[in-house]
Amino acid sequence: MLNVISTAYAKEIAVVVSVDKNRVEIGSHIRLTVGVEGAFDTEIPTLSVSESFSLLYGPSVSTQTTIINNVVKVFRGFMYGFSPREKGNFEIGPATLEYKGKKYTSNSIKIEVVKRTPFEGVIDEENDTSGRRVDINKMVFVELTTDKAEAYIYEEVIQSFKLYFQKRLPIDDLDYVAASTKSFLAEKLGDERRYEEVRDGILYNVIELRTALFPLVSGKIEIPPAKFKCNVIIRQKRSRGSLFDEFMGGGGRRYPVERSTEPVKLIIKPLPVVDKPEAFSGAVGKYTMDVLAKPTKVKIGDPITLTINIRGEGNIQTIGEPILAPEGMNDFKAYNSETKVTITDRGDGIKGEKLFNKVIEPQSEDISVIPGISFSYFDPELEKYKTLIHDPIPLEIEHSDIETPIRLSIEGAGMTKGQVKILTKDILPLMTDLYSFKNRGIALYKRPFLLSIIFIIPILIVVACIYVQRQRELLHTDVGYARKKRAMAHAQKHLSNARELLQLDNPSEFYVTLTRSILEHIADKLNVTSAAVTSDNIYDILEKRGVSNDVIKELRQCLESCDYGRFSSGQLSREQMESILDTAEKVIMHLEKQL
Amino acid sequence: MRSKNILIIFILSFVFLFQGNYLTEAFAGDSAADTFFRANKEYSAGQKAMAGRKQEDAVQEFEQAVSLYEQLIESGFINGQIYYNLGNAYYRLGMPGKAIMYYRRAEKLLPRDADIKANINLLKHDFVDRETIGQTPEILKVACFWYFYLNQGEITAITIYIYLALIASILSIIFLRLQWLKKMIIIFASCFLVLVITLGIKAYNHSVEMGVVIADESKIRYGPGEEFEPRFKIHEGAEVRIEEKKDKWYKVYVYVDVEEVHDDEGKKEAEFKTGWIPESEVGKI
Repeated sequence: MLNVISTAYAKEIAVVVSVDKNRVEIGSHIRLTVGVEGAFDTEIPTLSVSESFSLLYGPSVSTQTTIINNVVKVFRGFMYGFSPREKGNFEIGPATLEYKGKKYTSNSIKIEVVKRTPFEGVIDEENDTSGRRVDINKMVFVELTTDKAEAYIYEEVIQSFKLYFQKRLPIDDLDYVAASTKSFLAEKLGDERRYEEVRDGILYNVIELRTALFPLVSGKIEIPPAKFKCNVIIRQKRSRGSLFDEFMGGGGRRYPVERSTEPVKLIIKPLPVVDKPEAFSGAVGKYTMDVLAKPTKVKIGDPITLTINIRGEGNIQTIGEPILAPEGMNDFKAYNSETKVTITDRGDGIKGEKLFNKVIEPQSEDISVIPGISFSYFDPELEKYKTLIHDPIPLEIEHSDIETPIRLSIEGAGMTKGQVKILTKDILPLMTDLYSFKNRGIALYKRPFLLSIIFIIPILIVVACIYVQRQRELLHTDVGYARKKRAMAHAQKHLSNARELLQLDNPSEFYVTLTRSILEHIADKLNVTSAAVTSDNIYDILEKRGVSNDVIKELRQCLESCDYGRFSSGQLSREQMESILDTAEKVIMHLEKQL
Repeated sequence: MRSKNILIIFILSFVFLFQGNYLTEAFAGDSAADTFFRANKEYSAGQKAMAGRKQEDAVQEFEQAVSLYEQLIESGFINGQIYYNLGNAYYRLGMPGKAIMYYRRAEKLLPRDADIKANINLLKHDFVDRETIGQTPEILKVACFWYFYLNQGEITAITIYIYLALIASILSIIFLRLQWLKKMIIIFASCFLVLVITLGIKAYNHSVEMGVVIADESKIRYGPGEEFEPRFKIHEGAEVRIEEKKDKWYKVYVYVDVEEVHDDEGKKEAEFKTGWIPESEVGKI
């Protein structure tokens, strides 16, 4: 009675008969479709119809091609309109088709024909007994089922929530609330499935949601109802026909529909206590185990990574770690495992693998094998426990002279790194750097005398330098100052020349030089040209400049003596000349001070 | 040309002044190094004896090492390494108070040495009395790094060199009239000012006399004499600030936590933490 049309059978020929309703009033009409799936080039299927139905139209042919997941699905529909003429239960079909020498037969459909009732006013839905309510229920309904009614604790139970709505029924705003799964671990099984299904001769679109449930407690457990809400779009224009024909139209008023399933009762059995292996840690399902150890040639303390792969069907996420034979683990240091779960298939149940990466370190050279590994699980189909045992893995320990280093963590093992423990607290060793072993003696800052010298001398130097520099600048820029400053030096040079001339006994030159030295000295001091200073005006000038009379008097005597020496015929004695020279020196000295 | 010569002579004369200062200190270097080397050897021998469970031999070796290190110090040879090693030797001889005293002296000369700080922290960890010496914030240590990473001698030397550089810059301006030197003068003058302030703070801190309790247990009394009642007891290794000396007693401020300090708010903390201790029970840092 139940025919499922899905892409899975797309390549085969299938003939399906469906109607828009299987309860109809006399004089009304039903729409019947004979669908052929899988071929375009077929003949019209032969359909056997009771004589109580008169053909209104048909067959009108429609074709449809859909491509889903690269599978081409072809559909050819032959649509008929029939009108019943009398009351009763009738069967339409089956339809038969011959194609390429093969004969295909469809399902048949039961139709109930009832007496016609005239439509008057507003429908009272609650008091309506004419069967229209039944029609609503048939157009949209939901179902909650499980694949088994009895299961063991932790065994996989597949729950299926199906939403049926009649094909071409315009619905919108689908909203479904899944059944509460308090006593179960729930794993969604893939995306929702969408397909078509004929039930009681009516073609429905089906949305199926599947969930794998793993019961956590034993006893009688009820899966509470799942709920579904949607809006059916009702055409605004009313016809005199069936009220629910209005549903078939396009846009219009939204008619909310709410459905809920029946609760599902499950009996969950506890796992048997008899023959329960010690290594059993609650895994239920069907599993296989692979073990890989790397490396198998190591030194003491080197890490060995054991990769244990448990693969199979069941609640793969919660399965416990396989056990290494404890008697063989005394000589190993073992770390906690790192696990990784991969779900490979969510189609018809949870399938996948769980990877345990465990690091162990041999602690003795006497070890020759990694101990055997065992994993126990309960097989609900066979209803008994099974233990997978992996044989011990041969191990080669290389001799090492070096002491086993303290290994706190192993790279890549993903373990939390520990802190190094302080074994003993002790002071740090001696300082033995002879290069920097120098006597710091009495620090510089403790020698105030030396410090004051260091700080004062540079300041004095700076002051001196400023003074010297200023003097040099004046000598460069102020000619008068420069002449005044250099006057004595010039005079002394001339006097020295005069002394030499005296020694050479050259009196005429001696007097000339002596006179010039005095006059040039005065010219330098007064910053005037040598020509401006003559024997005639010199005394007045000096007097004005405040030179004392004694000096002027001496100067006069000196200059007169020189003139006398130069111009008189009689020569002065050497002693007299030396006396004039001394007087000249004295005069210059006095002038140097007073000018 | 003559101006430049004056400048060069000025700089060189001061460089030689300092070098000469160091040269004079090196005269006794060789014999001191020899003593230091022998003392270290004694210490190592003591450590080996200790590892070999020869307790008596170890004590003998460490005592020998202590005597050699002290001999060096008495001869006027001052070096941070001697103080540090002497601290180690005293620690081995079971005298952590004296060890702290010498570590602190070493720290003054070698402020950048992490080993000294590590040993001080290690020893302090085992002391009976809990101390409340405030830790200098790290940010301050970074901001005023020269204060914490240089000893007073080093800061003095740098100050002098900066001062001479400042003077040299001033002389250069006078003779050479290079205008960019004005900026240098500002930089040197700023550095010089900062360093002088630093030196002042260092000198003040050095003027504060610190000490360490070297007796196993010491009574802090209300006055300088046995006739005064003891106020509280402190133990070996506790650091104190020496405030006054009278006869053979020190008036000290202790840094250890004192029980009733926070109970009586009317009195100042210093009143509770100050007392008199015999001179012989305190080692000056």
